[in-house]
Amino acid sequence: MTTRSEGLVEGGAERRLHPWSWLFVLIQQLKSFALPLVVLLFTGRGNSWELWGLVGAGVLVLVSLAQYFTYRFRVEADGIVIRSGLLQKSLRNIPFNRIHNVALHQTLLHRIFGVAEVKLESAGGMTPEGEMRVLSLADAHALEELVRVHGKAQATPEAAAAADESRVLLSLPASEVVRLGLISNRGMIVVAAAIGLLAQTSGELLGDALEGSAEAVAGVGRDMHLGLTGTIVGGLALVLMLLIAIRLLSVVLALLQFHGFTLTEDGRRLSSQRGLLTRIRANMPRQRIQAWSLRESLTHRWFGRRGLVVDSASVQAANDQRSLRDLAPVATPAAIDELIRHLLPGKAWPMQQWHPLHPRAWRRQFAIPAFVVLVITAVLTTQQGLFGLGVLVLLPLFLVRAKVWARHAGYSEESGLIAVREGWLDKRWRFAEVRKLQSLSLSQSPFDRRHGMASVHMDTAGANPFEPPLRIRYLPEDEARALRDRLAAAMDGRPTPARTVE
Amino acid sequence: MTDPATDLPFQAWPPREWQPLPDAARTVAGITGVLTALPIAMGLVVAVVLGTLEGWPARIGVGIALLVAAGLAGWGLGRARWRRTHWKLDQRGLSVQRGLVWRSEVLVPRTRVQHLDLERGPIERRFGLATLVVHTAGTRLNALRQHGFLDADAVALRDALLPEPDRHDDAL
Repeated sequence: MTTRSEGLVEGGAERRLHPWSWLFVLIQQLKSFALPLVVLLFTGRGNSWELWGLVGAGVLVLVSLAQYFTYRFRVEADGIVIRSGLLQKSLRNIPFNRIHNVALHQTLLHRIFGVAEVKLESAGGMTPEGEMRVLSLADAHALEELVRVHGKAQATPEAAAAADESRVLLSLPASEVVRLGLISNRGMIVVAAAIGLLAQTSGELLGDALEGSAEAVAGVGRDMHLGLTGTIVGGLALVLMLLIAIRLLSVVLALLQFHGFTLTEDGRRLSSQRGLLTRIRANMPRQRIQAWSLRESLTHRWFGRRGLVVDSASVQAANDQRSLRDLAPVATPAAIDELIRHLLPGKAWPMQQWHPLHPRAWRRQFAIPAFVVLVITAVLTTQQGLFGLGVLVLLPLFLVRAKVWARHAGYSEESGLIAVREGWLDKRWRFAEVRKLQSLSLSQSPFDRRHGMASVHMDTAGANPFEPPLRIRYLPEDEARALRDRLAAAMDGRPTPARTVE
Repeated sequence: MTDPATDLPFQAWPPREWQPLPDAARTVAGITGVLTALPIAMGLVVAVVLGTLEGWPARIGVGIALLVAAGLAGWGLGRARWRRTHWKLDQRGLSVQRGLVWRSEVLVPRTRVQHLDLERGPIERRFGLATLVVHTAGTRLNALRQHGFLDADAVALRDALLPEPDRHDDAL
């Protein structure tokens, strides 16, 4: 074993983790095992079973601590070798060129101790290839640099030359992060989660709280002799205040997550850094981007901004907030277009020509909401009388929605890029390089067949389940088949371009 | 791609036109349909028969009649699904066409095949059939699974689709 002062170099001696590692492992274990038990004990339902559970958790903590003390790694010429395990030993060899992402994670505590959690991610697989909890910050950066340099060393000469410069592609000042908070509704998600949690753990508590607050509002109204109108106005004011509070919470969350966001390009690797208290640093090679999604919601439009998210090939990336997914959390449309053009050289973004869908596509978007409205109207009218007919007001609204949707929807296929756009208030563009597509599927529902339509689905690696799929709906059937054939030819025909490392 | 062995059940290999599944697969599809329909029907039948009918002879009689009807429906659906299923292997890759009501036509290009599995369940084994699973690096369609190939076809397809050893995964 070596001392900590020795640098992390290729061919160096075997290394342990940072001396403070045990503390962070312990915290991790306590979070996952002991905390629920402590909660159980304090809620007064503690009996011998839970005590036994606590003992079990203690043993688990000891075992995992021991496992971590047996963790050793060595940097070799072409990769990293990790040796771990007390009883069941494992030896893992991770070649540099398989590492997609070196993710650095630093909570406030990590930052106080000057250490970072490091995850080495490769394509596929649900768990990271290597997880180092924790390394000193210097070692973590050295490891990041090693992966970067090795990516470069095998690249073509011009790529290697380009690799030397490091430039900032996007950085968000605090004002932009505040805008991001106002645009996104992160606060609402937290509030919804809190309500859900409360409802699950103690339903009565939530009910009481709601009832109590409603009564309080009514009470204040009564006390102030406001009458019915006054109470309604007061209630509306309260709702408004609540909405403002949630937006403020969103801003706080955005500042916590995205403060000091910078996207840098280091040769062929992109890296991003962000976070106010917990600092997160992630990177990936540029060509690992599988698919792009650009979003412009109504609030984005009010602020004249858009957001850009990408899929990378690693499966865990979609679920893990520390991966590089947000290329541009918020930026002006021009800045985002510039960024896309820079990252997709030779591709014509923004697309010049958008093809419309089937002329009757709007009817497909209108049919289901219209049907639901009619059913609700029928039920309400039979039960409540003619008031039920009021629901029909929704019909023109849905009609406008369908028309606007169909006017905006379309697809484009230019210079090796396939793009789809959809949405009416919340507009989305989803696009990918044709050579990154994995499979094509043409599908027809019974409704599609009646209208002579078909959908083309394009599957990509690492597609995020929360983003809309890369598919074109409501195409005329002939056009769908022709497009499918063209895409298949483009996917297959071109030989692998002079590709770099991997 | 080299031309595969000559003892294949086709005249021309690879089959460039849509190929139906073999006749043996129709029986297997029927059996699978029955096996899928029966457990679903069983729960419904028990609830309905016990809830509405009095007296055991009537219950048992109607119950069996309903189960037979469900089994026949499953058999018919399975066979109809068999009739709608076609496949072809051409320059682009493997295409499979299937679906009764929601129809789809999936294409997995040769260059995107990651690995292949052959599966033979007890029923399929009895009829000399195999299931071919084509894995890609994709997400929603990460595996194309097709039942009911003749064993020899499945093996030939697997060999024809095996990724070349020197291929680079550019797409990843």
